[in-house]
Amino acid sequence: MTVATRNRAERARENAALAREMLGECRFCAHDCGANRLAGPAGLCHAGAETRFFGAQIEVTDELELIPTYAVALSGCDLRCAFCITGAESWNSRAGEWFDAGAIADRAVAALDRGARTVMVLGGEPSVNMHAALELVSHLPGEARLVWKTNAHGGPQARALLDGMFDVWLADFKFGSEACAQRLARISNYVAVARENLRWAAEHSELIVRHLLMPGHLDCCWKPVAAWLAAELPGVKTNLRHGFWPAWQSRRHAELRRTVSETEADAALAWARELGLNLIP
Amino acid sequence: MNASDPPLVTEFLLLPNGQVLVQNLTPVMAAILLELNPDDEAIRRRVPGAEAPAATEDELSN
Repeated sequence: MTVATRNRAERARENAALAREMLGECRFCAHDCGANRLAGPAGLCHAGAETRFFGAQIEVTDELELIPTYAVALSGCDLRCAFCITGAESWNSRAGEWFDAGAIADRAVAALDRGARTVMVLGGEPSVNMHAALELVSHLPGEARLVWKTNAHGGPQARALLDGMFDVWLADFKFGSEACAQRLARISNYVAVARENLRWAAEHSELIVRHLLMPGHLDCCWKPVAAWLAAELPGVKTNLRHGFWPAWQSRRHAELRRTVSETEADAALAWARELGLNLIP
Repeated sequence: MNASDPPLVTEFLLLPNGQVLVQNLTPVMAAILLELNPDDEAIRRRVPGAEAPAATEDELSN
């Protein structure tokens, strides 16, 4: 599926302007804190109105059907996952370089000309920088295949702004348990919010769900995540990743001080097959 | 790459068992990893233009 591209750039420009105004009472993520980010860094994400980025390059790490992708990583996130592999930049919206949407779009177009199949906007969490992400979209050609890599913790305002902007939502479903979400990412009501976003994304775009298997979290996180996907989004493309990397503040949690064992990875895969999940590499 | 382009970044975690975990894998680095281990199909599929190795005589006869 390709998003109706005819007016995407124009609509993105309008939505970007709207998003910038909405920073005055920001409700892009499900924290729904209403902080005035136009006045400076605020809210649980500690982000202001200025956008910075910490990565923009062609990568082949992601799902095979998306790579090579030109991946643009915007600084800042609304979650505080202890195991975040880019924690230093993701947690700090002031990390990296000032984001010039036009200049990055030029680089993205050059990457597409050199063989990149997609342009991926990620973070941190890109919805923190909704205005900048949409401005980037406004500079990209309508035929470009765009990917929104998200933690699936956006709110209704974010979803409304994003409708029709990206061809693919590559969405994390990180935790199957509210207790794990609270303990590892300091977040409440995570599971319900993630489910709401995944349902919406499945109806409004292509959806790929990604779950990073964490050591010791097979039963509490992966199994319920997989069971819900099988029941509620049958056939949805799912990427089960088992290359957990004990990064950032993982050492604060005993079970996260190691990688995923082969036994755990095999058991997770067996559970996915038992449920008939549509696993993709 | 132009002089004004930012440096490309790939991060690795080398495990005691020889396994390599990678973050932000670029095509260039993927090609290097494939050179180091041509049998790694997971990497091969991520190297643009890399073809499957030629079939052996045993494989052809099966």
